[in-house]
Amino acid sequence: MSTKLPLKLLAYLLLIILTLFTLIPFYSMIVMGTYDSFKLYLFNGLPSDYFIHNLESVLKVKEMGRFFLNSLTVSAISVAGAIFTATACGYGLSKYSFKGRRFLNNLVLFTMMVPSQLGLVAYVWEMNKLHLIDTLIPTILPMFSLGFGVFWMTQYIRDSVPTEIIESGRIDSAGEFRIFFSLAFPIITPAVVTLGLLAFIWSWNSFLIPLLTISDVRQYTIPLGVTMFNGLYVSDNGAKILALTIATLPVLLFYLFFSKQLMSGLTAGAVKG
Amino acid sequence: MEQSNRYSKYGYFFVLPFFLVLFLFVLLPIFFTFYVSFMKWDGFTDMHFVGFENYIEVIKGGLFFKSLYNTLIIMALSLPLSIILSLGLSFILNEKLTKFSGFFKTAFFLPYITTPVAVGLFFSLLCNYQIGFINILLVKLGLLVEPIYWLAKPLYVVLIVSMIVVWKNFGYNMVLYLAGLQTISPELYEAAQIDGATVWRRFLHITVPMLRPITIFVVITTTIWGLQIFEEPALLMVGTDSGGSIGSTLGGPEKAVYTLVSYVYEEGFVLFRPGRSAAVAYLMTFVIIVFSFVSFGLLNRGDRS
Repeated sequence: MSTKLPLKLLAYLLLIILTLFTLIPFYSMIVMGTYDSFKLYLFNGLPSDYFIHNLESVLKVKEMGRFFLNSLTVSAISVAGAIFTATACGYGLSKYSFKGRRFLNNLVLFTMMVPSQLGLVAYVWEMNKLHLIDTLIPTILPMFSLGFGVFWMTQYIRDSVPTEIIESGRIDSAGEFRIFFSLAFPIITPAVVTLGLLAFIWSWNSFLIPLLTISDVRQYTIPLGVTMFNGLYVSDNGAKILALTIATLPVLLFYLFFSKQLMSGLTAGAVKG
Repeated sequence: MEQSNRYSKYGYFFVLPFFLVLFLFVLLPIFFTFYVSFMKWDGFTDMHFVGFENYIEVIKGGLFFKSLYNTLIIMALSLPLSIILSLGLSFILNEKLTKFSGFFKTAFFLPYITTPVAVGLFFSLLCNYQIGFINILLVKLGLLVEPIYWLAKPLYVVLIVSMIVVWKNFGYNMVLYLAGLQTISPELYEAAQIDGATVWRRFLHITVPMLRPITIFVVITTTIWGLQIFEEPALLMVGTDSGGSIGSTLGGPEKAVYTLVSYVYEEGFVLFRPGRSAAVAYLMTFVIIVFSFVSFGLLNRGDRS
C-alpha cells in the first residue's frame, strides 16, 4: 500500500498518545504501591522501596485471603453457570422449533434492554426472604441469566452449527443431549471461551449486588474488601494503592493471557449480531 | 434450520435452566418492584397502597431531573469523544498503517475489564489535593502555580467522571468497530484507491457510512450502559481523605455526579424507602427505553437521506 510517510507518523502519534492515556493510570497504580505514604508526593515514575511494608499492611487485614477465595468462587461458578445456561438456551432457541420460541426470543431481547437495576429493590428483598443474605449466591445468580449471553449464543449457533450434524447424530441414534454435548459443543468452543471470559470479568468486578447482600466481612468479595480497606487505613495511601493493584491483578493477568481469544471472539460475535 | 416435530419438544429442556433463573430472579423482582412502586413501605412492616404518590414525589422533588441531567451531561461529554476515538483507531488499525496492532488493541481494551471499584478509588487518589499525581505533575511542569482541589468543584468532578468514561469505553467500542470493518468488502477500498481517493476520503466516504449500523449499536449500548453508571462516580467520591461511606459522599460536590442509579441506591438502601426507589428505577427504565428508541430512530433516518 502506498501510504505516505506523514500519515504513518500521524497514526503512530495518535496511537502512542492514546496508549499513554490508557496505560499511565495502570503503571502509576502499580508503581505507587511501592511508595511510603509520606513520600507519595515525591512520585517520579520510578518504583520505591516500600513495597514489603505496604504488603504487610495489606495482609494485616486477615480476611484478605478470604476475599480472594470468595471472589474466585463467585467467578468460577459464574463462568460455569453462564456458559451452561446461555449455551443450552441458545442451542434450544436456534435448533428447535417449538411453540413459544418467538416469544422467548423477544423476552431475551427485552431483558437486554432493561437496566439491571430495575428489579434491584425486590431482588434484595427476595434474597432476604430466601435467607441468602451473607452468602455468595445473590452475586452469582445474575450470571445464570445473562440475556446478552443467550442472544449471542443463539446467533452464533444458528450460523456455525450445521443442522446436518445434528441430523447425522440422530441417525446414529444418539440422544439429543449427547448430540448437544459431543457434537455441537466442540464446534462452538470459541464463542464459549469468549462468553466465559466475559462472565469471569463481569462477576469479578461485580459490586452493587454484593454491597447490598453481604454484610458479613468473611463473605466479602474483592471489590467489597478493597472498599473496606480504603475506609480502614484512612491515611495509609501507599498500602491502599497496593491493595487496589492486588485487587485488579487477577483480572488483568487473566485478560492479558486470553486477550487474543477475547478479541477474536468479540469481533466474530459482533459481525454476526 | 427448522427441526422435525418429533424432536422439537427437546427444545424446552435446553431453554429451561436459563428461563427458570430468569423468571425467578429477574422477571419476578421486576414485577414485584413495579408493585412496590405504588406502595408506601419501609421494607419490613405492612405495605400501603398509595397510587402514584411515589412517582409524583420523585418527580416533584427535583432530584430525579437533577440526577438525569447529571447522567446526561456525563454522556454528552464522553460519548462523542469516545466514538470519534474508537472509529478513528479502528480505521488506523484496520488499514494496517502501523505495526504492533495486536499490542495496541490489547492495551486499549484494558480499561474496560478493570474493576470499576478500583478505577474509582484510584482516580480519586490521582486527583487528591496533596498527594495526587495530577497536581504533582501539573505543578512540576509549571502549568499550575498551586494545586487544585479537583474533587471539590462540581465542574471538575463532572469532567473527571466523563474522562473516566471515555477511558473505559473507547477500547471496547473500537473492538466493535473493528468487527464492523471486517464486513466491508476490500474491493470497495481497492476501487476507491484506483479512483485516486486519499486515505482521508476513504475514511469519510466509505468507512464512516458503512459503519453506520455499528455506530447505532454503539450509541444505544453506550447510552443504556451510561445511564446506569454508578460505581466510578460513587467510589471517586468515597475517595481518599474521608474514609467516608458510599451513602454519605454520594454525588460529590453539589451532587454534581449524583446519577440515576445513585438515586435508586440512596432511596432503597440508605433512606430505606423501597417504594420511592422502585419508582425511580421505573422512571429510569422509561428514560432508557425512550432514549434507545429515539437514538435508533434518529440514526436510522439519517441513513435514508
